[in-house]
Amino acid sequence: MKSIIVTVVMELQRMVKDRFFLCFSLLMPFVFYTLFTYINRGSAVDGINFDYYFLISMTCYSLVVTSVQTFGIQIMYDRRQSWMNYLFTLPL
Amino acid sequence: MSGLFFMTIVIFFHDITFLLLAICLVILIAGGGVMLKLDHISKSFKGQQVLRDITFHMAEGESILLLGANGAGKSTLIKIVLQMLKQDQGSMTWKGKRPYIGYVPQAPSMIGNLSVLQFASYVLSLHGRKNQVQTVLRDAGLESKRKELAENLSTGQMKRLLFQLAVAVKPKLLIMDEPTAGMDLEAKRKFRKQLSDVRSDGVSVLLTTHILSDAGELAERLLYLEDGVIKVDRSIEGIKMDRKSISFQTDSKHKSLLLSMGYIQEEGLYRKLTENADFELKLLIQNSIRFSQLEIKGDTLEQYVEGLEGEEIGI
Repeated sequence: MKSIIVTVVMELQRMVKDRFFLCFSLLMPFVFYTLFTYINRGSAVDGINFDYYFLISMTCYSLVVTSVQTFGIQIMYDRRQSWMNYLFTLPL
Repeated sequence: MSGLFFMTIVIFFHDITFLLLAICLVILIAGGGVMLKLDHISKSFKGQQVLRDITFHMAEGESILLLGANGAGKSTLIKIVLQMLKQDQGSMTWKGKRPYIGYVPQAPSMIGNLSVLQFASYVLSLHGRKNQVQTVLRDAGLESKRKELAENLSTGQMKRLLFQLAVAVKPKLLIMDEPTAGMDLEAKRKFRKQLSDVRSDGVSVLLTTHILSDAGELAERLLYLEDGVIKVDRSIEGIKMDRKSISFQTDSKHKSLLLSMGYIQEEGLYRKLTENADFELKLLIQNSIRFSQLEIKGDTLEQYVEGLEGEEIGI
């Protein structure tokens, strides 16, 4: 259990240093949400407040970008690096 | 009657003691000191046989040098020992539970987007030794680079760090693939010193290197692989004692005789490589050759391995 926690902390440390992740998964949805909810303030979509509607939309966008662009690509790069072999020798 | 009973008891326990001692002795001789046994290991990739019938035992505290030409199967053998690959045939058995193995890979690469400090902390945390981070970074000479990305270190720096991490967690077996490649002279000197300390602590070592001048000091046994088969398995000390180089100075009047005896003249000295130095000296004395500055040196590991490689390529 301890090794899983240590590895999750390590992966989080890697994630916050990933500019692609920071830009497309966190910063961009946040900026879009702020911008479009400001422009469309007070409006509604099918009777639902635009702010709520767009919040879910941007959250989905962020998750999709994280899973497809960041997570998927990172696994591919990691598999090409020899440190994956090094990890096999550690008590994970 | 009671005396007879007492005698019977004494003889019975006496025999039991001897029996137990004999059992202990048999266990000790039959492999008490053997840490790793590889029996008839074979491995092939896409129909191409890479390892064939590899059998060797590694004792506790033993240091083995694994040599061979490129593609001989060294890295495959190391990966099988590390259990990164599964052998097609044969068995690998450890004495007791598989111990922790320290590993320094041939082409190291670090986990992406982690600083040197974070990488070292991660590896040591997995072993519950996070408090040794500062010592590891200091010994690797990377204190000033602690905040730099680990993936941007040079090969020599990565190897220094991985070696220090491998040693810090007190492994029973240390496997190193070309450990000194890419290291500068100071790092190599420090590496040799530390490896010698590690070996004196009883850690077994399995290493490959192409820098044979270092290898003689780092290992005590040579395993030479050729086309996936162990061609040579013997002690390095034995190799050094095998062939000897005789060199001496003498009058030029003996030149033709010495040349006919197979000596070569170099820088005013006559030299010959021989497997029987005593016999050569007797011959010189029988031929009344007076000599001075006599020197008899053992064969070096480089010369021995060059001979093996020469045989392999048919020189």
